[in-house]
Parts: sequence; C-alpha cells; structure tokens
Amino acid sequence: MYGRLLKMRMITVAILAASLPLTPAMAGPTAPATVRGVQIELRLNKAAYTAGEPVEITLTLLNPATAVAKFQFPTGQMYDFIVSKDGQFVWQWSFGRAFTQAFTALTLLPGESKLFKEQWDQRDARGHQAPAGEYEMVAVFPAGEVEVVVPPQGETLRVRFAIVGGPR
Amino acid sequence: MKRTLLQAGWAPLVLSVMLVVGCTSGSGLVGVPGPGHGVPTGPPPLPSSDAGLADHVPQQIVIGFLSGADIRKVIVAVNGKALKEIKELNSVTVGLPSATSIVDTIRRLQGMASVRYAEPNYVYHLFLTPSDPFFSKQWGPQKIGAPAAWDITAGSPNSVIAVVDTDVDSTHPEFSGKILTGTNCTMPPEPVGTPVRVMHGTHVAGIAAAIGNNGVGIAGISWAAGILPIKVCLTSSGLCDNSAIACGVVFGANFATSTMPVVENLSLGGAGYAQQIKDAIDYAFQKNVLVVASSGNDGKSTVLFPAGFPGVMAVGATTPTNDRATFSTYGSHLSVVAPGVDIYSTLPVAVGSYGLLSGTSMAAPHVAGVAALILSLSPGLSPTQVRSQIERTATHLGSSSFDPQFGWGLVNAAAALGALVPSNYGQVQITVQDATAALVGGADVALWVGTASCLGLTQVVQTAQTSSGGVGTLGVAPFNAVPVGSYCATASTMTQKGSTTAAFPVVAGTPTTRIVTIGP
Repeated sequence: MYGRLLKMRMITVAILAASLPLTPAMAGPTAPATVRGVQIELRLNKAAYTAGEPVEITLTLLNPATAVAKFQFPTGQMYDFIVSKDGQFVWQWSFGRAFTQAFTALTLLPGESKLFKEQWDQRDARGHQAPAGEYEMVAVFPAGEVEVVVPPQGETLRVRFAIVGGPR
Repeated sequence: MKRTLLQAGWAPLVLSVMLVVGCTSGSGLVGVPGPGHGVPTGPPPLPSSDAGLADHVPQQIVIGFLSGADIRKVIVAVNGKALKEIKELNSVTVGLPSATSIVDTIRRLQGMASVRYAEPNYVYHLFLTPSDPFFSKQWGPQKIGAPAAWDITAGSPNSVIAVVDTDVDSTHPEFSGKILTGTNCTMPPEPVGTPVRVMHGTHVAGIAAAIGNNGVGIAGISWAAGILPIKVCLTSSGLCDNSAIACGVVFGANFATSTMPVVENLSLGGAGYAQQIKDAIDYAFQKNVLVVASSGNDGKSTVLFPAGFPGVMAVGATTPTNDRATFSTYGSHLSVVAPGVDIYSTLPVAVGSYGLLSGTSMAAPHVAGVAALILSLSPGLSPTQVRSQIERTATHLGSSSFDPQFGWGLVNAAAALGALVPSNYGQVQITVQDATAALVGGADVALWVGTASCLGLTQVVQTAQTSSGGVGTLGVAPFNAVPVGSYCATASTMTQKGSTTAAFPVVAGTPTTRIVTIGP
C-alpha cells in the first residue's frame, strides 16, 4: 500500500457541463466522462435558474464493467464543483469546508452506481448573490493516477447554465 | 529486550519495573537524546560527585581489565570485593565498602595502567512492552519512543484527548470505560445509526488513546487518557463544515478545567481561512487548551486550515524510514512530524475493528497523545509550554534545526517527558484604531520579523484579523503562539493601513500589547 502511495500523484479529472440551450423549463445539462471504465456524469437539475434558486448538482458514478473498480483519494474529499463566469472564479463547493486528512478508498462493484448530491445557493465565495448571466460549472474528481485513466484533453467541453432575473 | 538509561525529569514518577543489569559496557550509556543529537558513542564524563550519577547500584562498580592484568591486586587496592566476573569480557563487578565514593574510586582506577575502564553499575530501565497482540503491527509508537515514555506514564483519565472528527465507535473494546460525553456538532445533526462509510474518528482515537497493555488489539500513545468524542464531520461522507468545526473546538475548550486539561485533535483540513474557526481556536487558547491539527495531504508547501491558524500545532507525516511522506503538506508553519503511513489502529467494530490508514490525519493523534502524556504529569502547563516541550525535544530531521519539510522534527515521547524546557513562545495582542482612536474590527494584521523602524516588510510570521466584537475584544487581533523574537505589525483594511513605528520584543510566556493606528 505504501509503495502505491509513493507513486501516486494527484490528478484532477475535469468533467464539464455540456452545452445546452438556456431554457428554464427543460431538463438540466449533463456531462459524461469515463474514468478507468467507470462512467461519471455531472448533472444539473435545470439549465437556467431564477435568482436565489438552488442549483441542484448530481454526480453519478456507474461501474458497467464486470470487474471491481477502485479509486483512492488523498483526503475524505471525493469531488469538487467550481463555478465561474466569464472565466472568473465565482464559487467552489469545497470552499469553507474541511475534510478528513486520511487516504480514502471508493470501491464500485460490477454494476454498482453511487450518487452524490450537492447544492449551490447562488452565493459567491464572499457570500453575495451571483448576478444574472451565463455560468460554467466544472466537476473535479481528485483520484490518484494509479487508479484512473485520464480522458483525452479534447473530450472536455466548456458550456454553461444560467441565472436569469435578479441583479446583473 | 531493549535497554537504555532513562534520564527523565520526573524520575519520582517512574513506576516501571527495574532491572539491575549485571553486564554493562561503556558504550551503552544512552541517555534520552536531545534535539539534533545522535546516539552518544562513548561514556559520559564523570560528575563531580556520586549525586550526579545516573541510576546505579549503590556501592558497586564494574571494572574492565586489560588482558594479563592482576585483577585481584587492583580490587584490593580499592578495598573492593569481587562479586561477579565475566571472563569473556575480562570484567568484574566489584562491591565497595559503605561510604565509599564511587566517583572517586573510578577516578583512581582510571589512573591504573591495567584498567581498561571503570564505571558505575548502572541500572537500566526495562521498557514497557505492552501486552496488546497487535502492538507489533504498530510502527508509530516505537518510532516516537513511546515504550520508554510508558515507563514514566501512560497518561491519566484526567488528561483528555478531544477527537474532533467523525463518530468514534464507543462500543469498541479499546475504548471501554474511557469515552466521555461528547457532542454532535454536525448541522443538521447526522443521526445515530447512519451507516459508517468514513471510519476516520475511530482510527484517530485509537492512535491517540486506545487502551494499552490490556491483552487486546493495539496500544494508544496515551492509553490511559479519556476520549472526548466531538462529531464535526459526517460519517456518511467525511465532510466537515466550518461551523461544525468551530462548534466542536468551543465544546472541547469548555470541557477543560484546571484539573482536567484537554488536548484537541483535528485530523482535518481545508483551503479556506475561516474566521469562525480562528475565533474558536483563540477561544480554546484562552481556555488553556492545546489544538493539534494535521498539516494536510496535498504534498505541497501550502497552508491549509485549521493547521495554519496561529497557535495550532501543525503536524506532518513521516514514513518508517523517517522520510517526509510524499503526501504530507509542509512549510514554515509546520510544528513537528509523526508517523502517518500505513498506521494500524482501531476501526469501528462493524467493519472489522482494526485496519490501516494513511495520512497526516494519522500523524496528528500521535502528537496529541504525547501532549496528553505531558499534561498528565503537569496539568497546569499552558498550550505554548506543551508545544515548546514537544518541539524542543523532537528529533531533528532534514537539518539540525527547524526544517520546513519536518518542522522541529519527529516527535519524541520519551524526551518530551524529560525535564521541562522553557517555552519558546509569547503572546501578542495588536489593537487597531483609526485616526479618531476608534477601534477597527475586521482589519487584517500581519506580524513580521522586525526591522528597527518597521520600514520594509520582511518575513511575515503570522496573520490574524481584529475582532468585530462578539468573540474576542473589539479591534484586537490576538496572536497566541509567537516565537520569541523581535517583530513589527502592520494592519490594513480595504482603505486604510498602518504599522507599528518601532520593532517590539516578544518574550516567552509574556503577553505583549501594541496599538497600530491606521489611516488612508
């Protein structure tokens, strides 16, 4: 185990929300990625939100293979979500949170899926309501490289969801 | 069986089994090494009188002879009586008449041509090897000298370790009878019975304080200590909200009394500087509570929190070969390091009771355990005194002084229980006011290595914010553990700035107050 830890370098796999039209009524955007055979999907519940409306975030992991999939994380943190607007940082899920500082394993049996749900209340890192406009959300999966296959760079897409109404 | 001479400052408290060693040698006089000192390679110089000798058998010496020496003649010359001869070593244990000075006799013998060496018949302590069957799987206690420390004390139920963490499995036999009534600070409270996915708190508690020498499992560093479980992280995810952490730190601080000191262990961290947690840690300090935190697992020279808050002992992780664990966060804020790779400790009973985990989370409770051992002997020590005791008795790694990779070095439990060293820290309070002498809350204050007239910013040592009221005193930024030295302070808001006009000294154990006036 120690030998593996020594070899481990942190790799961040970015999963970006897929581009969708900004239609409040339609289902939210999704972004798929595959990491070591495990399908990972980031999903928002809507493509556009009114000011102050919670942004529901779902990260789904599914192991479609017949073999067990195992990930190892350097802390208790298994994911993160980062919101930006026009390339400027707005909010990060892990900001204002702490995590246990022991290596953590995540095991997915064949066919098993795991679901992580979080929420963004549209307040930026300083606690202010984010203004109306188009935003990007990135999901981060901070597993060690020993355990994952990094998707080719070209697969990631940068797209948006929106906050409509409220201050601009 | 390992043997050593133990030169502890609390010798009257030694409860260990004593072993009178019939065979001694001049090269085995190993005292507890101080910081940066290797193992001595020869005998120590003789003291001026017998009172200065380490533990020895009264009226006995050991004489080593050169081959062909007339042993009987030498023994008669010092009015001695041969008690035991080891021919293979050409040495004789000799009894002396009462009221004979051992030191004087040895000096006399050292002047005789046929004598190779003469020395007291030292008494060595038998290290307490606990009866726990999995002790052999624990490399951490051995590495930090815990068995020698246990000859002095294994802690006290009145010296409490607060495990500010996920749940601690109170049904675990390793914690039988020692779990105190803690609290659950998670919001909303994670219900009892939530499936255990994160076993962290139970593992951390075991490293610090699992019952030792009980024939079961493992031995914690301070195995007699009480455990105060304070839940601030979700057992379902390992996530720890800042407000929960602050709640937990305050709970632990309020639990402490003058006769029941508390050490808080926070094996958690994050990137954000949270004023609420900073205030909670300052509050703990005021309650005389030491806070120990893991430095972080990003493997970089970064500052994570709460390890980065002034006064918190930031603990990094080492490997069995005394290297910095590749994941261990390091930097100038690091206090000491401790074992943190493949650490065997308790897990919830439902998932097998014992297992391995790695991380700086595992390093911190080694240090918290040592702090609890110190406080079990000296419950009145301040947090900075305990911290100084641990830092100044640590075994330097990397360099012969402070090293950003290892802090002050590898914690040394046995040495930490030796004679008390002076504290290396003082306290500073900076009051910030504007031109009208109105107190300013929320100002950022940097404490930096002083220049004569406080011109030009040198190395920033610590930063803090002035209180806006509520917790702390309005307009005051507290620095609870500032290394002794000369400092300047600079305060700033979005629109105003100011500095002290002259450097001021920080003296160990003494509060220093200064006023900084800020302006546009």
